[in-house]
Amino acid sequence: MVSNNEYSDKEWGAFKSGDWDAYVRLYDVHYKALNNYGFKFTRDITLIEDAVHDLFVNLWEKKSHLGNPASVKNYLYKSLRNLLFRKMDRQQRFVNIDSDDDYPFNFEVSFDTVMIESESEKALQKKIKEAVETLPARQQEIVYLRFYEGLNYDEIADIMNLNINSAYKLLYKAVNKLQEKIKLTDLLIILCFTLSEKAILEIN
Amino acid sequence: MRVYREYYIILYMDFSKYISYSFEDFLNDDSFLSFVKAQKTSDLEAWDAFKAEYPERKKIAETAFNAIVAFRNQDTFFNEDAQSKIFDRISATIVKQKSASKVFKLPFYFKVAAAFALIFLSVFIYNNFLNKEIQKTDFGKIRTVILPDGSEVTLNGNSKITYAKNFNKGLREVWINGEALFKVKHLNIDTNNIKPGEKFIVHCSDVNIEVLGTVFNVRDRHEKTSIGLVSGKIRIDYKDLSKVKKQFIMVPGDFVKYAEGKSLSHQKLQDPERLTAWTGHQLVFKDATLEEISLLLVDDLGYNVRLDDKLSKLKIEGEINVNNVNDLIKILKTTLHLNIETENKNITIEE
Repeated sequence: MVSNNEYSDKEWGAFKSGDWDAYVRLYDVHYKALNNYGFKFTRDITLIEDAVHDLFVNLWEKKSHLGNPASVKNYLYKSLRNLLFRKMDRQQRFVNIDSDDDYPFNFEVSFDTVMIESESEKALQKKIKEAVETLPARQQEIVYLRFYEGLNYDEIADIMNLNINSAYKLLYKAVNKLQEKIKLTDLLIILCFTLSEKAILEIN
Repeated sequence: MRVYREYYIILYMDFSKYISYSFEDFLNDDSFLSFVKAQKTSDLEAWDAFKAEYPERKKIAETAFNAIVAFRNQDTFFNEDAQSKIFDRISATIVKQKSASKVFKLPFYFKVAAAFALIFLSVFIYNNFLNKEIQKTDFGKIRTVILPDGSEVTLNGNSKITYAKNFNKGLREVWINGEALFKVKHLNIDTNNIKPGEKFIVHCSDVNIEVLGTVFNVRDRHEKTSIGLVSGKIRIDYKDLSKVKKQFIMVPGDFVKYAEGKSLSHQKLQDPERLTAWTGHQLVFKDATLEEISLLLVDDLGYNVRLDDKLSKLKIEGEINVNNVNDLIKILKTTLHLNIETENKNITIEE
């Protein structure tokens, strides 16, 4: 069974041999997720759109040289990330010439508070949001890739250009830092708010 | 996909392996993460059963579950409105690149011929259709030009600006030779987020100036540019790409000029208004050398100056502010005790 949200190996093969319909589907299937990922790096929508444009133009141009990635989506994530990196690095250079931070962007995480009803949950949600925001950008990114995207460490390491051990360490650091700010017992309160399966499918 | 299928086979997720798990172990476990992500009813039942069976693990297990739920709860940005628009852009770029690459499959002589044809065609189109607008001034004449977008450019003597006739559409670009004061009309409100269509760029011989809304003075003589900013914000892009520092953002009062070694030197002006004194036909100098003064007489006013090399580094301390060349020469004579002869547009400076 191939759902509408999955891009099959067969389609990838068809796209590589120049099938325009397969290319259009590659775009349609991943467009939303790519924008969503890009939005974590910048709030400059034109920049995200330019990166998506460049990504797909490059894909078509190099289609005959492409390999068979284990996950097409992750491959696209990685490519988009590199493109954004380059574009933002270019912008950053004049905004802050002497910055010693090698990460050219701020990973921006924001939380949707619509589904939270009780005051204590709202307060806790706010606390988590603030705690995540205090993390360095790379740690915010790994929290996103791990928990939001549900990727395994192999995939995270590949996208973020890390080795697997560093990916483990990075997430461990992030979670530890979050725990300093949020007591584990606090988290017990939020048992009742859970995402519905439908909402999750929509996101992916 | 594979993960879901696994669930169908097992039917119930096996939670017994989690008995000894710490909080971190839970977060590091891929199948636990997939479970929280999907929250299938059958798995949730097994999960409840697990917690009932091992009440002492309940707290840590629920905490891990909730932590993942909390970290997953994020804003989304799908940008659906732009989906078809961006794809149109992508296919337009692909079509363009395709037709460009076709030319290179032709035989060599054809390529050469095509290249020449293209050059002639571009020159033809450039001259006849895109025709550049040129505004220039004679020696000693000062004139203000209003650009099609409403920006004002005051040209000093012997200066020239060039811009496209269709200047108003998209990127605004001006090429300068000489000295000019720019009062740029800005189209944008947010100077940190300027769209390509709102940009205003001044091309000089060694740098480009990107205007972020502003009044500034440019002097580009002998391929050496100096730029003073009166108000607003501009960005200087070095044309020499081998430079480490490729850009510099100027704020009001900044003055940047050509220095030896092809780099620019930066200083703060105490009185940036002095930059625009020339627009009122005033000759203003501060701690200037005789060489600098004579260069201005040559470049802006069209004089021929004969200056002995050994006198060129003589400096007049302090400020000179005069309305005409005669007054300037009087000052030079009295302060430096020099012999200065003037005859029409010829000036000879001797000891």
